[in-house]
Amino acid sequence: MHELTATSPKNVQKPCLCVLALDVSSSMEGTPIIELNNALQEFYNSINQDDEAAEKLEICLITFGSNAKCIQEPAKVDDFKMPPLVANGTTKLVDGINLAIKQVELRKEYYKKYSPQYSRPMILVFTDGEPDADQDMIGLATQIRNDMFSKKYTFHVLGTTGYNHSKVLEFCPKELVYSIGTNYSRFFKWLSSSMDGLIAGQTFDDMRTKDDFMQQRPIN
Amino acid sequence: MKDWKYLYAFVQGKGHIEDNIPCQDYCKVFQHKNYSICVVSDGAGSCEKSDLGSKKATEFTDIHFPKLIEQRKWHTPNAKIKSKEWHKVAIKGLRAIKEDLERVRIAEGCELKSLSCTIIIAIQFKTKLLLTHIGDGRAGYCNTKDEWKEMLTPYKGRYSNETVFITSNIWRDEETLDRYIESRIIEEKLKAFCLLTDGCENASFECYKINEKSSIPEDINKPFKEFFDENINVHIPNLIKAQKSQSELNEIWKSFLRTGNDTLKNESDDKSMILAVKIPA
Repeated sequence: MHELTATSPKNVQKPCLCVLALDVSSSMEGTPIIELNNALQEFYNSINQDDEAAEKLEICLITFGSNAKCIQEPAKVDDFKMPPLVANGTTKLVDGINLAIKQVELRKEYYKKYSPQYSRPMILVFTDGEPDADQDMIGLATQIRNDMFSKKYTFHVLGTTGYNHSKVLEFCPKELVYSIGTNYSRFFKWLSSSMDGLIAGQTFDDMRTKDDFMQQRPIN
Repeated sequence: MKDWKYLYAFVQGKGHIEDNIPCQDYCKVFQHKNYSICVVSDGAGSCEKSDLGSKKATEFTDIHFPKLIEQRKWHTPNAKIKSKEWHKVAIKGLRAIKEDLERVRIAEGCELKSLSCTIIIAIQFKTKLLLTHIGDGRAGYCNTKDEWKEMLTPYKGRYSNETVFITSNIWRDEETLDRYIESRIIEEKLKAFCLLTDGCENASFECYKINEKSSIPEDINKPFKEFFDENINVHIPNLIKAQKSQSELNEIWKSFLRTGNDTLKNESDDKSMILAVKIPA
């Protein structure tokens, strides 16, 4: 029993954008796309049940197959339903990442105009392959390097079974690449339970020592 | 300041308890003849020795600021203090604290960055309050008309984890210092005031409210009356009437900051607050 009492105000949380850039090329057909869809739905449900995360987090969905598309503009889980993904086409991975970066920039402009503060946006790229041969990996590598230096967003690539690790390293620093095997569900469970740290701007590496999932699967 | 009581404490946030990280906040009230110095400091979450940084910065305040005040006789009755003059003196004092932290860095064999901490310093005289700060803490006061007002603007970077600290690279020129160091003089008649780290802001301040036009939050920065009023008008006077000692008051305050209501209980960041209350005659 406290000898002091107090009522607190209802403060809303600072917004944080999470862009998921998802490989939906034809190699994802069958079990992988089913598992990815199930895991995304679980992730959505988990955020929806976490009042604090649901209030802070805006999710944006990018897919890349033969084209990169933004299939969900930044929105809180209250304001959209997780769309089912269909696998088809080649792997315009670089276009997908560029579109994710563009979405981050647009949303930051919006926050800057209206919000006193926001959490550093995060981009998570999922791929089971490698970029098409015509994709500009050198340009992307320069952009990611510069953006990491100026802390524009946090960036991670999650390679699933079959992804080409050495190709990914051509545009992404080694410490930002993780292999998650085929277990999307396990990864997204870890992701939703790690949202506090990620929203605070931590990288996967910052949280690695604290988390079983990352300890068991160091990746590189 | 015999007619004032100070409740002060710092406690681990939920996140730091779960991760077994020490409390990185620190605060203390130093009582001098005719004036008091209140200090609240928040060690950076990502910096290894920031608990030491916040403790040392608080202690160094009571080495440098009394000298600066007493040299100028600001603690004597009817002393006139101009805002610009106070700002210059505040910068001088804060710079001396930063230089002392450099010495701690050498002794500890660590980088200055690992001692990163914010700081709020309030110097209370009989008729005025001098305030200076670096970082994202908040402070407010209640005047004798029972109006609560803010008394500093927290400096928040673009991102929620881009705070400026006393150890940050802000000491190169006057323009930069003026941007990151805010100093104010409050001359209203006071009934209470508070200094707090950002771990207490959600519980005690209206900070982020939805802008109806954009549906994006904006910072109101206003002490929340309902958080403070019952405590300063009823509960704390009762504790004082019950002749609680300073350490008993601080224990009660600590327990309150830890679990006083759901917002305080669920806060993941460390929490520290000084609440100063004028004792009714």
